[in-house]
This record gives sequence, structure tokens and C-alpha cells, in this order.
Amino acid sequence: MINSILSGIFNLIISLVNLLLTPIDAIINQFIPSLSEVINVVGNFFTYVLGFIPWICSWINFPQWFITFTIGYFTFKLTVPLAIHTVKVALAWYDKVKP
Amino acid sequence: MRRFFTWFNNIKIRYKSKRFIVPFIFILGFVFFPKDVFALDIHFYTSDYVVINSCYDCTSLSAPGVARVRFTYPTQLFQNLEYRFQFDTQFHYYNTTQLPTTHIGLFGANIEQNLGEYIWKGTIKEFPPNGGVLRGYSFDATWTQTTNGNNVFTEIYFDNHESYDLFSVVVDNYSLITTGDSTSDVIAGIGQQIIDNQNKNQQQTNEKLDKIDASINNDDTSSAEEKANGFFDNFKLEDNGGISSVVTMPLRIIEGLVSGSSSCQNLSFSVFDKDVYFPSGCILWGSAPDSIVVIYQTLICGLFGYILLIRLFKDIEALKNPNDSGVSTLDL
Repeated sequence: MINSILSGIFNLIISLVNLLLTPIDAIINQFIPSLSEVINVVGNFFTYVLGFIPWICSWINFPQWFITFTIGYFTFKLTVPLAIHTVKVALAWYDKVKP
Repeated sequence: MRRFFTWFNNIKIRYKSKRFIVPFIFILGFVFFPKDVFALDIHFYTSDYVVINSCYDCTSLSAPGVARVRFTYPTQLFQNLEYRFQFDTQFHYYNTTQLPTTHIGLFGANIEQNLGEYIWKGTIKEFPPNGGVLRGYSFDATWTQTTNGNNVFTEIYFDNHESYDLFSVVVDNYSLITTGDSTSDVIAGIGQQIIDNQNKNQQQTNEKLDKIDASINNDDTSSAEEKANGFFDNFKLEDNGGISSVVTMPLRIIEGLVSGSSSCQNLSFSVFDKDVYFPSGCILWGSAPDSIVVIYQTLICGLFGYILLIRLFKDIEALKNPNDSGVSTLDL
């Protein structure tokens, strides 16, 4: 269940990023094609480099539940404090604005 | 209406089965207005009648040319019912030569509206069976309708204006036809229809409530994972290149790790026009004994898992601290 939720969240974020950046990529490709080629090279570099991560994980032989737990931990660490901090900021603004 | 009766009487029906006209009309009504025909609930009542004054040789009577017939019906037959009287009347010469049958009727919504006297003027024509001169006779049919509370009396005077061209009258078919249901039956029918609709709506509501109740009490989550995965099936995850590819590449790697789709992928790329191929670790661990794999994963995951749990507890403690407003960020 946690595995499905995490996978769905990442799919959602990837879709949204694609949706937002596709027009920008199209503009760059149309008017600055050389810059577009540089960006593609950078993307291929990341593909090569990051492609080693699952390969290394396969050799270390981490079980799937441990990978999910690790990624879930970092997701929790990077999202929940941000959400709580946002609520705290909103409450602080409300206290200042409150008559 | 009188023209219709006149036209009806003038029809030469060569067949003896004149009674087939009514079923024929009913069939036509069924063909063109089937709903109306079946909605008409017809009740026939018959009653004895008394010929008070009739004659075959009216010259011998004190009031020549007058025939009088009286019908008696119970008042209760008229209550809340639409009705009509219907008579088939035969007229005769004083010498008993039969004249055509004429058809007369009295229509009314209820008996109270038809008390009184009504005059119906008619004409009959003689059709001599062996040829001869066609002769017509005019007459008045006067209806007098009274009631004493219990019974309704209908008297009909047939008067040929004392012309001494005399006739007598024989009422062949007589009936009181009430159409439709009584008011109480109509109200009861409408009430029953309302109750039926209410029951039907209540049944549909109960079925919906049963479905909601079954859904609330259903603790089967076997299909939840499938539904959760299906929710994201229509998201477009293809790599379009450009900035979006750079930004989403880490996310793609993480998503591949989470979903397990890249756990046993071999690593291959080209260097100086040569293909380099690195097999995945599944080749090694797939051939290792299961006991060794379990011991290894227990040790390695226990160590890293312990470290992660310690950090997780510290992070939660930090969240519980109201004075700590720090936000963790990932430095890429």
C-alpha cells in the first residue's frame, strides 16, 4: 500500500512537471536549438549517472521493502516539516492580523 | 345529434345483424383510441318499464296520437356517476305496419342536473317493404324526469300532434348506461396510486441506503491497491527531453526504485563507439542460496534500518518542538 502511494505521488509530480515545462522546452527548441541540444546532453548525463543507482542497489541486494522504507523516510523528512512549517506561518500571520 | 340519428335511421342495413355495428365501433375505437376504450368502465342497468298509454288505433283513445312510457330506476344508480339513457323505440301504424326503429337518448352528468322536462323532436320515415310512397312522420318525445329520493322516474311522451295519422310505440331496448367510476372509487384509485409511488420511492431509497451501509461496513481492502495504482495509469510519464527531462530524471530513478521496475536492469551504454555492458546483481544473488541471502539482507538492512529509525524518531521529536520552525531541504 505504501509502495503504491509513493509510486503514485512520484508519477503525479513527474506528470505535473512535464505539463509545466513542455511549453518552455518547445519554445527553446524552436528559437534556441543549440541551447536545447545542451540541455539534452545534460539530461543524458544525468541518465547515465543516475542509472547506476538501481544497478548498485541490485548488487547490494537491498530488498524491495527496505528501498521503499528508505525513500518513504526521506519523503517524510522533506515534506511533512514543510507542511507543518507552512501551517505555523499561516497561524502566525493570523495572530498578527487578528484584531 | 339529431341529424346523426336521422342519418343513422336512414341507413339501409341489408344485413339482419345490425347489432354488429356496436362491436365494430368498439373495435375501431380500440384501434384508434385503445387507452380511452379500456379506461371506459361501462355499467349497464336495465329496468322494467310500464307503457301507460299506447295504442294501435289511437282514434279510440281520449288523447289520440300520444303514447307514454315510464321507467323507474333507483336513485343510488345515479350517484357520482355519469350516465345516459338509451332507447331503441319502434313506432307502428295503427294498422300495425312497422316503421323503422329510431334511437333516442338522454345524457347527463348526474341526476340532479337532468330533473325536469326535455323535448326531443324526431322524424321517422316509412319505407314500405313492397315499394310505394315514402312518407315521413314528425313527432315530439318529451322527457319528464322526477325523483322522490329513492327512485328516479323517467316518463316519455311520444306525441304526433294529434294528426290521427296514428302510431303506437314499443320500446325494444332500454338501458341506463353509467360510465366511469364513482367519485369515491376515483379518489381511492388516486390514493392507491400515490401510495404505490411512495412505496416505490421508499424501496429505491432503502436499496441505496443498503448499498451505502454495505460499503461502509465492508472492510475488504483487497482491491484498494489495484485501484490506487489505476488512478495514476493515465498520467503521461514519457521523457520529452529538455528541461523537463533534467528535472524529472531523479524522480524517474526514485519512482523506478519504488516500483521495482529497475531492480534487475542491466547497465549498458556506449563508450568510444563501443557498447559497454554491466550485468545487474540479480545474476549473482539469483544463484546464491536462499539462507545466505536472508542472513545477508537481515544484517545489512538491520544496520541501515536502525540508523534510519533513529533519525526518524529525532525528526519527529523536532516536529513536536513548538520553538523549532526549521524546514528540512534536500541540497542537490
